[in-house]
Amino acid sequence: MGQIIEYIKISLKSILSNRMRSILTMLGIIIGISSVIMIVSVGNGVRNSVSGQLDSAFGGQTYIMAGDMTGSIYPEAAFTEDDMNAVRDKIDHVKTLSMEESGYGTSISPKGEKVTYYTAVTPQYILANPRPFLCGRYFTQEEYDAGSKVCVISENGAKNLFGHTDVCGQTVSFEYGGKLIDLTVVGVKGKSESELFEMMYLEDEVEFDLPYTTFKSFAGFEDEKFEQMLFMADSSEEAEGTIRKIINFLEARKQIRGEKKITYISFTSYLDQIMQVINYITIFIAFVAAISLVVGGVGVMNIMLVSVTERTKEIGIRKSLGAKTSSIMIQFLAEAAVLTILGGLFGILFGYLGGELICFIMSKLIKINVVATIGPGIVAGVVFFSAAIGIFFGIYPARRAAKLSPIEALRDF
Amino acid sequence: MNNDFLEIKDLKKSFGTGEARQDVLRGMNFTVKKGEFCVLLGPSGSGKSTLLNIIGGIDTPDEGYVSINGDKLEEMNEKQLTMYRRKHLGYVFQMYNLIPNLNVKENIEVGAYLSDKPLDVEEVLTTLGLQNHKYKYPSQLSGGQQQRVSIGRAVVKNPDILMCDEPTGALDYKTSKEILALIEDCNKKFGSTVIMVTHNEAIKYIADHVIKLRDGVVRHNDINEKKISAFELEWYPWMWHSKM
Ligand SMILES: Nc1ncnc2c1ncn2[C@@H]1O[C@H](COP(=O)(O)OP(=O)(O)O)[C@@H](O)[C@H]1O
Ligand SMILES: [Mg+2]
Repeated sequence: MGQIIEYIKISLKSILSNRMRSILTMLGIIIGISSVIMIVSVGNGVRNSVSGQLDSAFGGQTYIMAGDMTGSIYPEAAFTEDDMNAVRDKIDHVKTLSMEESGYGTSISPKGEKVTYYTAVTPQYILANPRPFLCGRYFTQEEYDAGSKVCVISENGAKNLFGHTDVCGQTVSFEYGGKLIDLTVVGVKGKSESELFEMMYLEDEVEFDLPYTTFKSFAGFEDEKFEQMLFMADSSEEAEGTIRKIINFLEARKQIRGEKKITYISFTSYLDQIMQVINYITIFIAFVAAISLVVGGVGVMNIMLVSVTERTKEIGIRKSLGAKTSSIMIQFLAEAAVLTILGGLFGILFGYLGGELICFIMSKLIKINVVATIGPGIVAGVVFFSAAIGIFFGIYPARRAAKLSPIEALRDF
Repeated sequence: MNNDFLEIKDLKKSFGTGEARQDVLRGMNFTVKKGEFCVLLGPSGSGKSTLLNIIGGIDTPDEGYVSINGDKLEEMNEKQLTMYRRKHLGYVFQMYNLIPNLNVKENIEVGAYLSDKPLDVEEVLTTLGLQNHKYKYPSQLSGGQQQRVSIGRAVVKNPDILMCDEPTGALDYKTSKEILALIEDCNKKFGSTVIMVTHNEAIKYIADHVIKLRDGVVRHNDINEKKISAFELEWYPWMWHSKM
């Protein structure tokens, strides 16, 4: 151990005594490592940010489908309002269970006619898609049960129809399928707290939610069935178990036990897939950047060969004093490794700073907060890897040094 | 076994081939006893350094052998030779050969690390009068100081054999005497066998054993009964580079 420290001390001395050359040699390693670190840290940051943002927008949401992931739909498994009510009666921990009947119509206002996207749902829908309210509230179970002519309008919808957002109590005339209905605005929904969601969401001029019951009687639907419903449990611990209970219950009710015609997809599993893709992209780019490390390694080899030539005399002296071949070898390997480890450490520093810079620019340009992140695992890995590069590319020069015969090395004196 | 510590037997060595062939050692014979202060005298080019290199195990003879304590160097493999150099030898080079990017203390430590029974580095620094210079680098030292460091690096190993190749070759009169006194000290205090190469005839008076080389063979092989100490030694400037 004391020996190792001695070797490291000697290496540092020799690196410091050739400062400029050492820096230039390390440059290749620094560039390689810093690009890898930069990419990984930004990749991690993007992943964290995306997962955080999406989670705040969709966290906990699960869709129960009368179909499966292959895209098949099974009409015999499709859900009715009665199914939903039965589930709500029989099964605990259900916070939200709602159909999502949506489409386009037209709103007529003093400002003219506006394309309008409606979403007909149950009152618990808002619990799975939380929004701040600019005024009023979401519609209630009573209004739902009574089929009240109410709606909850989007912030932009309010502005487009009335020119401002303080429109609770106002009336919206909605035209759909040649019929007209006057809906009272009971609430104005603000924007999602997720910037990423707002960025990706293509919002229509006017959007509102209304009770499904109201929409059904207005549009004249009867016994409608739904291929999917939005579900959310009252706690994430209960989610998995509750979904299984619901599916078992519905399968039994429809007498399709074990036919796998009712399935579900949770946002969490979907998010995992997105994260996996981001991971693969990050790893691939980092791998490409790592190729530049080979170039850096060759630079180290080159400079170590120069160093061996320059220090022929020193090697001769040490050997004639009785230094072992192996200790000469270790000395040069240590020097190469110290050189690349230093390069690696600087690379980590610069890479991290570069990542921070990219994230800063990104947050200015697209207003998404990404924080460059590297874990201790990556740092340890990089240090280990840069030492490995030094040792690998140092072996040839070190062997050359160790093999010098002392008499040859001391010649010319 | 007799008490011959080092035996040089029929040693031959030549360099080059054909026209350029030069026989440097042509059958050299002598022995050195343990603890002896032995001086090898000979003009420049007489093969003194070549001989030391062979004794030091860093060069090999064409014929003959060197044996130490009865072990022949030529029968040793690379590892054993390294161990021999490490355990038994202290080597003071003619041209100091210090490691330029290590300071005085570190240069001496290079020797100390290689020994199983090193002397205390600080003590050696004190003895050599280098305490005030221990953090200087070789390029910041005078010739005499560099030679002291070189001696320190050899002596700190506490070697059985201290080999010095013209240790005073490039030094002035006063410094030479101090250096010789140091080597003498090492011989007396630690019982190291000293083999010192020089072309300065005057130095023979401080030795127990004087061997004169010429044309690759031993010309004279004398035991000096009346040796004097280095401080009593005197020589005249015109003897300085005498070619005998
Ligand atoms: N490696 C070598 N190749 C060719 N000639 C050499 C070599 N080493 C020494 N010599 C020659 O051998 C002779 C003796 O050299 P050396 O042992 O250094 O003499 P000294 O030390 O007595 O001055 C010199 O003529 C020198 O040129
Ligand atoms: Mg010589």
